[in-house]
Parts: sequence; structure tokens; C-alpha cells
Amino acid sequence: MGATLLGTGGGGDPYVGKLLVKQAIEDYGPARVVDVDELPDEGLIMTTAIIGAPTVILEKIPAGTEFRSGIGALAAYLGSDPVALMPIEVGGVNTLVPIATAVEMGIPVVDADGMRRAFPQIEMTVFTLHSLKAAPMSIADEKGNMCVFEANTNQIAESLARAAVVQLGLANAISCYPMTVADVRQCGIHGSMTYCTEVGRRLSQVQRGAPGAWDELLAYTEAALVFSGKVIDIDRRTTEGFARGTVVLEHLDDPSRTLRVEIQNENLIAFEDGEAVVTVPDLLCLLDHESADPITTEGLAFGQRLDVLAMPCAPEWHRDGMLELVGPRAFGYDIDYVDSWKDRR
Amino acid sequence: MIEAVSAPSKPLTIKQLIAAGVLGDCKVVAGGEGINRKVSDIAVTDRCDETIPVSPDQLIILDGSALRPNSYALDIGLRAVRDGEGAGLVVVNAASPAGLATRRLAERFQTVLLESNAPDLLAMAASARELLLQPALHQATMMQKMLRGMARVSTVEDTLALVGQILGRPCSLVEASGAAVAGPDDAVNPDVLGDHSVIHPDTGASGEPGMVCPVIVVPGEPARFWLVCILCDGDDAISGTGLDLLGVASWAVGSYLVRDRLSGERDARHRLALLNEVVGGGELPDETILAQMATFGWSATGWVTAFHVQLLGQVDAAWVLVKTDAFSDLLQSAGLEGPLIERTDGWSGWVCLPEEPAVTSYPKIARQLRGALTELIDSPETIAAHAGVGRPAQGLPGLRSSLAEARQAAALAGAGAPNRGATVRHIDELGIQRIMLGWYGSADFSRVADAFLEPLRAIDADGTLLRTLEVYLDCQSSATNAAALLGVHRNTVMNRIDRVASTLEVNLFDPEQRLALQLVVRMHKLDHDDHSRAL
Repeated sequence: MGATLLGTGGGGDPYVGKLLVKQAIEDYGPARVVDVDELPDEGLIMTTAIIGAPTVILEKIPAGTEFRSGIGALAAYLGSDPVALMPIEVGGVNTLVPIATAVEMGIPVVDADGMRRAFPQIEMTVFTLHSLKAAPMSIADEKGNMCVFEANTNQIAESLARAAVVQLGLANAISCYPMTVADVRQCGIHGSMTYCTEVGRRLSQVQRGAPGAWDELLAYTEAALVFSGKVIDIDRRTTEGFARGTVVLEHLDDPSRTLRVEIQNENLIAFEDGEAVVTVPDLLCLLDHESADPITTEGLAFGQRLDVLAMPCAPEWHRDGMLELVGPRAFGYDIDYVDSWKDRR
Repeated sequence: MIEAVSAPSKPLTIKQLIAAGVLGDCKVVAGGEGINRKVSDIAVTDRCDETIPVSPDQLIILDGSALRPNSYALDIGLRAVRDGEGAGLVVVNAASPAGLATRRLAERFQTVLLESNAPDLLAMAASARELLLQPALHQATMMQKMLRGMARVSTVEDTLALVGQILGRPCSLVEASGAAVAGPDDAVNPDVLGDHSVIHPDTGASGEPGMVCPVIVVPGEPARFWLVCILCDGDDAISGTGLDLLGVASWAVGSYLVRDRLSGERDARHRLALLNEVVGGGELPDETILAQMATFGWSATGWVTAFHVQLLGQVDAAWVLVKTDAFSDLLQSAGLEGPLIERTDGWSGWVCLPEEPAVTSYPKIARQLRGALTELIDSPETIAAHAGVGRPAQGLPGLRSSLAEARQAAALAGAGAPNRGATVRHIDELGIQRIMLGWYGSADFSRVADAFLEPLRAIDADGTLLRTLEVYLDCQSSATNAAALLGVHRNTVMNRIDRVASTLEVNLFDPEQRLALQLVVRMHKLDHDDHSRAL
């Protein structure tokens, strides 16, 4: 639940990851999540994730073997085995894939990541802001095809990975950003798995109708309810490798008010009255007005009644280079970042 | 011939631009409520963000060829147009129609959103701008006609006609009472005549709207004349420019009025100088005087009957000058045709007859003069006129003597006349009163009279005692009659007379003292009516 919410509409449906984790626990025993301080500084941390197009991932279920084989290929290239795995993004399906793989490999999962939300491109991590490289990295498919490659920059790494994925079926395993425990301690977003769990727990309480649960959720996430409306228009397009779209909500109380939500794999920006009210990298989450279910971009449908939540991104993002990497203009929107939580930081 | 410029109207609306076809193959996508909004200008842009410079009532034409389908940028553009109070947004050659969010936003902002296809966006914008500028071009055309036309006119009447031709509406020059001085004779509501140019809904006497522009003859002085153009329904188009035209015309009219006034004053001075020669103030021989009189068209042949008019109250030389023509016309209408010469405080004039008029005709000329004067000073109640008529006499010497008699008669007429209306006396009817002329013309007696009345003036600031004394003496010392005339009780009159007698230390039962006192009172009245004895 928390992973879906932090996926901000994208990041792939965590349901598949949930099945993977469940199967792995049944086969190999319980998962172990550790704090980065519990690991030796020089230990190798590796990542694993599904890379591809969310719509393909829905239909092309992972075989389960590609994650471990991809890690194995990269570990062989590096000449060292990982002491733990780490999710690149805590948000969407990739929150759970490392857990399943770590259980299978018998190693722990580190309570940290590089986004604490979902982003569509490899280089969009706080690691990039710290000049940590995504390469060497590996791409593997379910049939045993795999490749390991180097890249000078994380942007080139994204381009190479994207090219490989297109050839390997648009739903593959990637392992990138291999780094030491010390690197994670210095550069990662700590406690993101815990954050995800707590968000999910509070959201569940909201769904159960627990008294004060909604306020508790807003308080914990520092979120703001920016709009409650009905979907009156959905415009989906797949261009330049992205699932782009525009959703128009009509306000439940004042029909003359409309909210435009711009989507590129994730919900990125909300406009009201021609003015941006929430902008990436802050989180823009759509919840069912009745059930409080987080709604993914694929699940949006005409007539849905939705609450629009704005949540601040992880504070680790607020460094030099953030806006160039994950600000509105990085996604092609010629507008300025709206920093609604500036006073609280 | 200058033609009236009929034409385009106030600023065009978006609807009119669409109907004129200058916005290409255009359709209203949303915000149709704003389609009747006026457009002041066109701006073309190829970017659509919050930095679009939008001025009020500007129609923004956006090159939509680079826009993504259903682009958020249109929302931002609409907001910029709304925030800048622009007229609307035209998206040209967009790859796809505006999305629902954009359309809903346009509806919410009531900002019209248009989509158009045009092969040449810049040509389309140029056509639209050309159409928009039509009203300004029209105004410039009117102003150009005005300026060119003014080079060909040199009178107030011609200037009014020029403005009237350009506007297609008659234009008149009115004075403060609302009466027309030149141009159409339509009266104007005097309440709208102020210090500023205005378009007033109740300008005409019947409540028609009109344009009013003051004519400033002397900068710093309040306006005495106004240019007025009555408007008809649907004349909104010309009103703005019309006021500008009237403003330009007012400068010309003001200068013509000054010119005419200076010219009139110059001529009046010449005429007055010659009149003084006629009366005997100069040293020119009679032949020279007669020759100069001939240049003015004056005649002194036959039997000459002169008259002398003295004005009192709120009059000055300018008023006399302005009213000379009107008075001359009134005299002619009354049958008194002859020279009329302006003085600073009135007029002198005479009529010539080939035969000696009968004595019985003397009252007639006095009556004719009174009629003309009464009609002249009828409206301003603050003006009074005392006039005298001399006896007829022959030739230039006769003119001199008749003028002298007329002056004397006017002085005597003023001595016992009320302070308003016209009083005319013929010298022949004055009889024994002429004895008084020596007294009334004496500066020494005037000083004696002033000194004698000084104690009374000290206790009689408002002149009540003096007025009571005057009436009492005029009523042959009848307190009853004086009380009736003054509207007070008889005892009040007696009480006042007692106070006067004790203050001035006179005995009113002594006939000599009473006569002297009445002369002093008459003298005082003449002085305080601003009579000039240097006639």
C-alpha cells in the first residue's frame, strides 16, 4: 500500500512484487531488513529492479530468475558479492523486488534507497546528485540473456539500459549503482523502507476508517489535500518512450474548478487555473475518494472520484542540481518548481 | 466641399473580427461569453508561458504548431491573458484541438479561446491589426480634414460650418445663458456649460446628448462662450474624436473672437474720438469733421435729433461693444435709423430728417428710444439705462447742441430714476428742471453735499435714513405717503426724519433748508449711481 502511494501513480503495480516476495518467503524464509549502520563500511551493496514499460510489466510477469542472474553477472564483473541488497526506488513494484531477491539470496535488505518515490529514469536518484555512478550495471531477461556495461555518466547509462531493454522485451531486471555500505550511509535516503511501511500502515488505517487516521496520515507525510474531484477527462499518449497523459478533475463542490494532472509514467505536476500547484520532485498522489486506494496512472478511469494529495519529497533531494535532475524542466515542463514546504525544512 | 466622415465605430469586438474574416478559418472553442469583448490591439507570440506580455484588451495570437497535444502550456497562456486583462487567445495551426482542461479553464476565466487555421499567421495578424486600426485612422482622417479646413476659414461662422460638415452634425457657439451666438439657433441647457470639455447626456434644450467645449478667449479667465454639437442616437463613434475637433476649433474660434473684439474696440475708439470732435472737444474745422464723418457713413444734414444713453450697473466697455449691433438693430426696428457711437458707459447717436419735426413728435422719439432700451436690457436685471433726447436742430452745429441737450436730459433722467429699467427724458419736457443742471454738473457742490451728509452716513451704514429722507422729501414732506412707498409705519418715517434732522442739524420746516437738503440728497444719489458729470 505504501509502495503504491509512493509510486505516485507509476513505478509499476506492486502487486506483482508482493507475489514475488510472498513466494520467496515461502521458499527461503523471512526477509531481513537492516539499517545501514549494521553493515561493514567496505561491504558491497547492490540493487535490483524491474526496468521497462509499466504497461508491459503488467502483462509480462517476471520469471523470478532474472533478478538473481543479473546481480550475479554484475557481481562476477566486479569480483565481489554483495553483503546486502537495496531498492533503487521505494515506490511501486521496485520496492519489493529487492526484498524477494534478497530473501532468495539469503542476504538482508538495507533500509535505504535513492529516491523514496518512483522516477522513470535510472539517473534520477540522489546518488547522481552525489556523483555516484549507476554503472557498471547489468540487464538480464527471463531467458538468460544479460549484459554488463560501463558508462561515463548516469545519463548515458540510462540511454544504454533503455536500448538494451527495448531489445530484451521491455520488462527486465536491472542491477545498477553498486556501492559500498559507506556510500549508502553518506549518500542514500535512509529509512525509506520504514517510511514506506509506516505510510502504508497509516493508509490502511484510513481505509479501515480508524478515527483520526486521515489526519495522522497527513501529519506523518506532511501531505496536503489539494483537490477533491471527479475525473472528467483522461488523455493518454505514449510518446518518446514515456506513457504521457493528462487527467482533468472537476471539483466535487465547485464544478467550475478543474485540476489538470500531468503524467509521465508518474503523476508529475498539477495545475489549477493555469497555475502549477504541485510540481515534481514533490509527490502527487491520487487516492480513491471513497476507499482511499492509491490509484495508478493505468488505473485512472472516467468518473472516478479522487483526492489529490501533495507530499514533500525526501529532504535528501534538496541539494544543488536537484531541479536540473528531477525538476519540472527535466521532464519538459517549462515552469518553475513550486516549493510548498520551504518554510518547514 | 468637405464631406462628413461617417464611419467606423468604437473599438471592434472579437466577434466582429471573426465576422470580418481576418482571423482565418476560426472557431470559438471556449469562453464564448467573452466574444463581445472589445479588442484594442493584436500581439503575436510563438511561446505560451506566464511571461507573455499581455496588455489590456489585447488579443493574443499564438503559433500553436509547436504545441504538444493537449498541452498544459495553453492553460498557462490563458492565465497570462486573464491576468493581463487581455481580450482572448487565438491558437493558430495547432496540431490538435485544445483539451478539456483548457476549455474548462477558458470558460472559468470567461476568456475567449479561439482555434484557427491560417497559412500565414503573420499575414493574418497584420490583417486583423489593420482592421483594428480603422477607428484610429478614421479619427486621424477627421482631424486631418479639420486642420486642412481651418487653413481656409477665417471667421467664427465658417469654423462652425467646417466642424459641422466634418462631424455631420450642426455646431453652434453659445454664451453662458445657453443662447446661440453663432451657428444654429438651438438653445442649450446652460447647466452643462463648464470649464471642461464634456459629453453630456442633457445638452440640448430637449434633453439631447451633446458635446460641449469651452472657448477660452483669455487664458486664466473663465469661459464666456462654448462650442456645442448636439448628438443623435448612435453617435458614440464621433463623440470621442468630435470633442477633440471641438477643442481644436475652440482655439480658432477664441482667436477670431479676440480679433473681432480688438477690431471692434479699435473702430469704437475712432468713432468716439470723432464724436468728441463733433461735440466740440477737438480743434478740427467743421469741414474736416464732416469729411471724417462721411468716412464713417455719418450724416448731419437736415434736422438732427440726438440722444444720449447712460448705462448703470454691471456693464463695461466690452459689454457695450458686444451689444452695439443688437442695439442698433433694435433702434432701426423702432424707426430710429442713424449713427450709433459706443462710449465706455453707453451710446450716443442721432437721427437726421429732411424736414423740421413737429414739437408734437418729441414724445414719440423718446418712446421709441425707451422701447429699444427696454428690450435691450430686459434680460439682465442688474442693468439700468438713463437716456436723454435733445431737440432737433440743423446741420453740424445743430448736432452739437442736440447732443448737449441729450446729455443734460440723460443726467436729469438719472437723478430721479429707479435703479433698474430704462428711463428716457426729452430735454423739452424737463422745463424748469433744467435749472438744476448747473447744480448737478458742479464738482464743488458734490463735495459740499458729501461733507454735509457725512454725519448721517456715520450712523446710517445701510442707507435706510437717507433713503427715507429722499422719499419723504419727494413726497412733499408727507410722512403718510412716504410710509406707504417704503412699506413701513408712518411713525417709523417720522422717527427716522427726526433722527435725520437732529443729526444733520437742519430744520425741515424751513423751506430754504428743505430745498437745500433735497438738492444735497439728489446730488448724493447721482454720485452713488456712478454718474459721470464729464459728459
